[in-house]
Amino acid sequence: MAELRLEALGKTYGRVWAVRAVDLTVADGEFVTLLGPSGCGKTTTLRMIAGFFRPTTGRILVDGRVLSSAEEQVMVPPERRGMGMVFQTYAVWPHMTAFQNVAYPLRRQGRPRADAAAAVGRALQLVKLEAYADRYPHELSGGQQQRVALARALVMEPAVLLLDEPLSNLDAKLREEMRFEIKELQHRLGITVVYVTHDQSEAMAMSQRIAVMASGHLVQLGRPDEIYERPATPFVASFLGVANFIPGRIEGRDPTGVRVRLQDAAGGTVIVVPDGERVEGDVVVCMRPEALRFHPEGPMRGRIVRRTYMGGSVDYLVQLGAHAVRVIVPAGQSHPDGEDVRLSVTQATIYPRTSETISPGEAAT
Amino acid sequence: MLLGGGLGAALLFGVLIVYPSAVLVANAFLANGRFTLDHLLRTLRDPGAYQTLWNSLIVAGASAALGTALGAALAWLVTRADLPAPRFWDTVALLPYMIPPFIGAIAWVYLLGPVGYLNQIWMWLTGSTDPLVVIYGPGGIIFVLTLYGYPIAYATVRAMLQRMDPALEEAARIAGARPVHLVREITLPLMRPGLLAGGLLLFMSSLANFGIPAVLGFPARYFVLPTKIYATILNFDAPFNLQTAAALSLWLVVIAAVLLQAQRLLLRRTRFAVVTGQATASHRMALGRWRPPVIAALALFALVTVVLPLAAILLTALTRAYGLPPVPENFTLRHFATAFLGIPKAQRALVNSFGLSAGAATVIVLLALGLGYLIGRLRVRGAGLLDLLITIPYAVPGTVVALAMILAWLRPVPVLGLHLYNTIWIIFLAYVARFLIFGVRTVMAGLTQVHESLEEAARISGAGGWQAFRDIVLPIIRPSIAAGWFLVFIPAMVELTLSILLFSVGRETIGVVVFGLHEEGKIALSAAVAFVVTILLVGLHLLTRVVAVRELVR
Repeated sequence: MAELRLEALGKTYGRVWAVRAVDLTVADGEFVTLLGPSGCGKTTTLRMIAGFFRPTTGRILVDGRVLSSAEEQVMVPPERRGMGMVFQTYAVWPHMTAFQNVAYPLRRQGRPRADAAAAVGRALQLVKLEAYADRYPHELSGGQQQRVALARALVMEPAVLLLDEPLSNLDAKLREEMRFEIKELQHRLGITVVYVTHDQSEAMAMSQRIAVMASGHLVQLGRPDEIYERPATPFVASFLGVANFIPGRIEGRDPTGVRVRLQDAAGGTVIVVPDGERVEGDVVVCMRPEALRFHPEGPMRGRIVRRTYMGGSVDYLVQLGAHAVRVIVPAGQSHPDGEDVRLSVTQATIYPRTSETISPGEAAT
Repeated sequence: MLLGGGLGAALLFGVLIVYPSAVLVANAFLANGRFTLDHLLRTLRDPGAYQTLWNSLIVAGASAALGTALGAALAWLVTRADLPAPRFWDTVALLPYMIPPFIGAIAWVYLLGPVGYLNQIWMWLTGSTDPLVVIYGPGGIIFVLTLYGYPIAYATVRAMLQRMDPALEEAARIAGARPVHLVREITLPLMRPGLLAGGLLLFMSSLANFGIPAVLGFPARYFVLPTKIYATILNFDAPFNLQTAAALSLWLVVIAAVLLQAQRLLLRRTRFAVVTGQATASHRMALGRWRPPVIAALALFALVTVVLPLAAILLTALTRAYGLPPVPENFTLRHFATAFLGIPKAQRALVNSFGLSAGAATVIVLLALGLGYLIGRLRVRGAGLLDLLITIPYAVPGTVVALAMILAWLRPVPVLGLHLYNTIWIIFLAYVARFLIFGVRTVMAGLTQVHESLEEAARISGAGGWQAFRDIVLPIIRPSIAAGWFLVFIPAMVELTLSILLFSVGRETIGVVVFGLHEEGKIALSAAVAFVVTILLVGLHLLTRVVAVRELVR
């Protein structure tokens, strides 16, 4: 039973806000990912939760107990927070065997030897390393060291588990495997997890909710599908997967949605976007490559300029006047380079056009 | 704790380095409490001083040039040629460094002195009544400085060759360069800044060396700056002898400062290739038909640098009287017995040197841990200043350090009334200051290798700050701590330059006793002590190498 709450959490370095006014509640047993590019404040946030950094503003609470509070001058040191943490570098101690590494938190708790040994055995079994208990880290592969780190973080059955880009040093195949394993473990143990990564596919595959961060702010919090399909800002849209941006202008509303006149070559293509946002005037339309379809009567006319076979799907680059968009369709229907095509859109998001809006077409190549 | 640590460090460096340096400079410009240029002018007007400076530059320049060439050639052979057992030859190349320079000089007196063994053999072979060559004077000094100094250049160049990206050389081979061209057109040009840096380091070390020119120069009345300063300090009858010595020291300090800066700039320019690890067998070049002669030359070299001198010391210590032919009829163990049982001075020296060296090593390692923690973890600023401070007493010649200590602590410490002069503590302070750099650099290098997350992982596992340090950091850097300790202990055990100026009766060190006995003409006794400590130290050195290797492999 552990609910983690961040209230108006902030951290400055000198005059720069690394993290600013972050409010986030992670429910008991929930898996929440802090996602964002490097320098967005996600690691700083995690290290504040762990107790390595003292917040400049706000509070951190677990089950209502204040662990850090700038106003109340509370700062529980990391060793008394009872959290588990896996570091990006694994931080497996080189002078201890796998067993000794995992046993260390229990040693610090003063757990009786036999009791501790049993717990270490269970933790190693959990990460499938029973056979490697007596190996030193340099005798283990990167993936195995990673598991030692995980077992060490889990051995004292922490209420909250913190993971700081734990998979970024693994090769692609192993990374995929570990994703499922960590997720499965979390599910089985019902532990509250805060996971930090800059890898959007990792975040989508593992999290129940994703908190997208940018320049210190929490910009969007939601389920992976919500965030992917309805990104709150163009930044979120382009950070999570591929996004096609095309500028346009709102023409009016239909019962089925919003009519937008796109600034494409024809200068007059009008598409209807279902459930359009309540915006007026100049806008930017964001369309996922999967939301675009080849359709003989589609409203957008273009020409295929590049075709990339991806195995299960085909990735087309289609020139729509001044803008190129990417279209990803299941393999099977094949269009050659240079073919004139028409596109329809099943879903899109509309943002008001501001100076912050990403320049159209930028993310499409 | 932060503030306390900072204040402690400031006080410590004040006592060890800043205050003595300031007093030294002040003395060069003060007479009866008033500013004066007299002392400096006196040294500038003295033609003997220029001769000494000239001697110093010649001797240091020649031995630096020869030593760098020798060191570079050996380094290339050990890292790039297909020698059998390269690790063995690496140890051989480093062996002369383990022999204290003044003991090396004394050994060469036994070999090439007026009645040295090699000269005796020569006279016996040719029937000549004149020795082949007498080691006293500049030639001998250059020769011995080169033999016992070149490992500095060797180590610098070897490290660079090992760090150089092998692809740079492989690319040249693919491009069609034969080995000769490769060395001449690729390896050497890439190494040039490194060679220069190594050469400068060697030049500084030769310029500062006291023991070799003392042993080989005094009999020929040939002086270099450190021995001249030494003689000036001991010339109690002359007015302002200490101040004159201080003014002379400034010459040395200025030269050392310029060279050090030049060396640093050069090293900064050599960051051309990223570390990729050791050259593997495939990067080694086949010596082909040159292999046997090269190996023979290396063996001969080891004979000249290590085997002959050590044999000469042993024979001298074993022979009844110096000058008698070293044949079994003349052998006796009497000198060993007398040296270690008969002269109380020698026994005291063993105890003193051991206590001083072990104490200095321990204090330095503890200091290094504290400083490393302040700078590395608590991010106290001042790493640059620290590095400068610990470099000063090492870059400045030992004679100058000793003089600064004398001048700083000649009178009782104000307020506290502590008396350091003529006690063992002044030697202790000088040792700590002088060898600080070895311990601090080694231990701090070890600390920086411990990634912060290792400590954080302990914290989150329930360990407090101190507990995490004890459980995680200390065990991991144990090899660095041991290495730092021995890097201080070993040279301190046979330290001569500082001790000879700072010792008082009852506070002799091993270096003082060996040197003193030699100067007094008690050659065999001197040899007996020298042999025992040299074997001890070489053994310790080799032991630490073996231990270091085992730790690396683990």
